[in-house]
Amino acid sequence: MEIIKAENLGIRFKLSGHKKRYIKHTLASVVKQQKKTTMSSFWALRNVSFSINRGDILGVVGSNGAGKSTLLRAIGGIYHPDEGNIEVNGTASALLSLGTGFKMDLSGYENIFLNGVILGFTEQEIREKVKEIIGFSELGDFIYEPVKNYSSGMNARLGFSIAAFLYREIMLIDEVLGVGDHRFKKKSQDKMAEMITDGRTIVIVSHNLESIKQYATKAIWIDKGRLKATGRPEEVIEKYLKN
Amino acid sequence: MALLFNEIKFLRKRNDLLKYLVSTEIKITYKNKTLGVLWSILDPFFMMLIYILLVAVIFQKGGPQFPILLFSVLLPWRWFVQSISAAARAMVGNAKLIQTVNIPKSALPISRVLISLVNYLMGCVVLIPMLFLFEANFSWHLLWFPVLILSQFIFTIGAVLIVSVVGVYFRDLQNIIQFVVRLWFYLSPALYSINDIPQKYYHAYMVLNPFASLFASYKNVLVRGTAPNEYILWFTALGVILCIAGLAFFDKYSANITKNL
Repeated sequence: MEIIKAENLGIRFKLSGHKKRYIKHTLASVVKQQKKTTMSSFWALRNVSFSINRGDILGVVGSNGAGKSTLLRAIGGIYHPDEGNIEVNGTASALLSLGTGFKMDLSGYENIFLNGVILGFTEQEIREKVKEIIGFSELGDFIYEPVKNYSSGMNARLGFSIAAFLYREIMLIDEVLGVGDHRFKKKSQDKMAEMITDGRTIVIVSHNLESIKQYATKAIWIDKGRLKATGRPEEVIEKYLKN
Repeated sequence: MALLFNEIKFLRKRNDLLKYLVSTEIKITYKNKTLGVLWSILDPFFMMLIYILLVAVIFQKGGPQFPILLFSVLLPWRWFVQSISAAARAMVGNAKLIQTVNIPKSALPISRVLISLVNYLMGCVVLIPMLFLFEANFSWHLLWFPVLILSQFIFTIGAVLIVSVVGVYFRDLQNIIQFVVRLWFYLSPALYSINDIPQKYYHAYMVLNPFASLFASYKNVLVRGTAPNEYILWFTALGVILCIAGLAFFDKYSANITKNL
């Protein structure tokens, strides 16, 4: 069953829109008697078509600014298509870039709940998982301390633990494949591997080609917003590297 | 009826979100600054003292109940001002969050309205003893108080929904709002009474400034012990229209916010 299906997906950004947001720019253009500047636009993605089935792990490769994160956001429902369409059968949950949305003055415990509801879980669902999250994070009694007193490693551990236990049927992962010190990195990578081999549908954006090769069942290569290749991970990565 | 709007459906689906956005923000205020809670009371209180100095002491006007007449409208006005100023930067200030997770974006401005409402209610802790001190005329009309709050709430929700979206495309809005609300305050019967308005302009004034009837109603209900001003119906009707318009506006224009942050 196709769980994500993109057909001629196009996402466009308007460029000169930026300048017009402040009165001074509007005034300046009135004074200079400029005609309304034609809005130039830029396609972050265009004509992108692919589909993945339940249980597939899609690796997305491409250089910086190629449109990988835009694609992830389109799947997550954050950007709406300007062209074509994207169908997602199920709820996608994004791994928050570790620690996004943490409130520094609140304890780790309180942040688990806040982060959870932001990710779309109910209080009840979070309460069922909170023990596992705290256990995995190895924060112990620190969990009741304000997050501002955490080291960056503790911060990342908490962020990862939340993501590792609160997820939906479709996971969107943007470059988080192991955090913390050497030992926790290993542990988080193992956990990640466990989640990935769990039969969930996953989209991974990563510059780490090795991990894509290792986990992905399918890969696409995006360059300047266009789909360059799609197919088996080794083949796609090979084409990408030759470029 | 409300379910006609996609945003409301989305909010309901994620009903714990709003609760947490409000409760965490309040917790932070309580936890962090020792004076945090106190400030939400002291700030309008000091403002009142300044106006008393100006109006009652310097201009010798306002009458013996002036402090409570003023304080009973300063608090709800602050609620409105705080809500609308916070709404103007609600989206831009949470850009990273909105770009990472698909959340009902209206929760951000709406939570600000609720947080400021809590500040308002905290302010009532000072207002109530003051009402006794300055011998307000209590009557059963006091029961209108929560109705006025509800009416103002509906109006404010409509306003913040529009302001939060416009604030993304028009970054100057925050500064403009600061100026507009200041002007609006002096155009509203806070420092003076609606009886000071010349009779021939009265109707036009009450119609053109919806807050005139709201202010007059708060004063009547809390201090004078009389019924709300009759134009409060006009304010409420406007509020309902604004709220529906705000929801429709939000449904139509909020989808592209993320691309413009």
